[in-house]
Amino acid sequence: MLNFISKAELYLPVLMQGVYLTILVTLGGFILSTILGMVLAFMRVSGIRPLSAISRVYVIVVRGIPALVTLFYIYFVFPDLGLSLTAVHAAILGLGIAYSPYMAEVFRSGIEAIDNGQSEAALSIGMGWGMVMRRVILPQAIKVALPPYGSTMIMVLKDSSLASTITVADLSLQGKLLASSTFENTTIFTLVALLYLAMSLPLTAFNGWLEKSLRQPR
Amino acid sequence: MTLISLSNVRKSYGKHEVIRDVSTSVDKGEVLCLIGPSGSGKSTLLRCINGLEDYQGGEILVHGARVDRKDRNGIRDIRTRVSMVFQRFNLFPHRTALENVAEGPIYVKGEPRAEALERSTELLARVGLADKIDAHPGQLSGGQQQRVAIARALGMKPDAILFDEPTSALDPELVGEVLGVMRSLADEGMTMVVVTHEMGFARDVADRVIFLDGGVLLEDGPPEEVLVRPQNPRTQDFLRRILPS
Repeated sequence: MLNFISKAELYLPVLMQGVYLTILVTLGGFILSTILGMVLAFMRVSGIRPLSAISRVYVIVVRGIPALVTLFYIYFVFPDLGLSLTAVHAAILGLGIAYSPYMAEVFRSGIEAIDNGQSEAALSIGMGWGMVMRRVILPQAIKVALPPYGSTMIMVLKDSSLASTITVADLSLQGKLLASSTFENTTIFTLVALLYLAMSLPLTAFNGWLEKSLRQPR
Repeated sequence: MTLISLSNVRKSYGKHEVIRDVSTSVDKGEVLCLIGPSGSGKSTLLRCINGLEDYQGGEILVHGARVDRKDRNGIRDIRTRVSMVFQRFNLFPHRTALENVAEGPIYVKGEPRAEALERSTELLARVGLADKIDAHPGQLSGGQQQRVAIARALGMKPDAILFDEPTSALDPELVGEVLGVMRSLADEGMTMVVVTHEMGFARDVADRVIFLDGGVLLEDGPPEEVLVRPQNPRTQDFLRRILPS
């Protein structure tokens, strides 16, 4: 154990360089997938057929492709189409796109969980669709969507490690490089695992705090 | 003065006709009760009046304007004039009683906030809930929730209120407080269309009673005629089953 701690002191600074990129890619992926997911969910429940159909097809197609392949596609195929991105940008874009269908489904299930009577009551006092969503449906849907949203956030964090396959020197890649040059597999991969876990804990705590603060008195 | 008029209204779900050629009208200040067995189309008819359901034939006019769900601005305008009270209250659970009442005036009608809140407080007092303005719907009994819903409807300063079985979801001991509020509204001259199974209320408060069965309007007249001396055998049969003799 003492041995582990002294070695950890040695390797942690190198791994921390990877942590920075992991956080960057994860945050970028969150924001992008959340925005895309919201747009897709709104399109789906809009009641406008072409929009709803586009959203449905997008979800089926993108969800059916492994995130890893999406990343490869963006990083290796897009340049052939004239769009060259840096590895970090490609990772953020890829993660954002790969997770947008899950986000869309999380938001849609939240919206559809709200009783139809709510929108009827809102319509009956003369609200339009946008206001019904903003004032009545979404504030309630958020509470339903938060737990699965939290899980999806943690999945994005963990799958940010896929960025290492397109040369982003994130935590997992730093770990791999360090391990292959030192042969300290146990120490290094244990550290990597603990660091990922440590990053997921604040997310869990944040989600729990949000759920609690949104709870209404009964 | 005619406020709401229905002429030859038809509605169907696919081939199944739920409203067949119904014509009637509601005058300003009139209380009209719709009665009939479940599945007779009375709730559907009510919901057609403010465009929560569409209809396939005939015409519904409110203040001379056609109720048409495709005319977005037109339907919103009609809905601000004709409020609705639902069987299951449909209060906004994330807002307090006061916010529920003030929601429409502030966000739909653009009333100044302070004014809307003051008026909403008065409305809640009027339905006997002055001490519950800060309560969330989940903290209120069914009867209290339905009274908040009535205050919410009144908050829009409507020309008429549609009630869709307002007491059917309530425990028996809570029915009285809601009917009491509705009675006082009727006394003050509010135009009301009420789908109900409360025959006592219909007899005492309604100016006119309509009996619907299978989507067909079978009786339309003052309560003493429709409820006491119904002409149609279906009405007689329905009343025999629902009224304790």
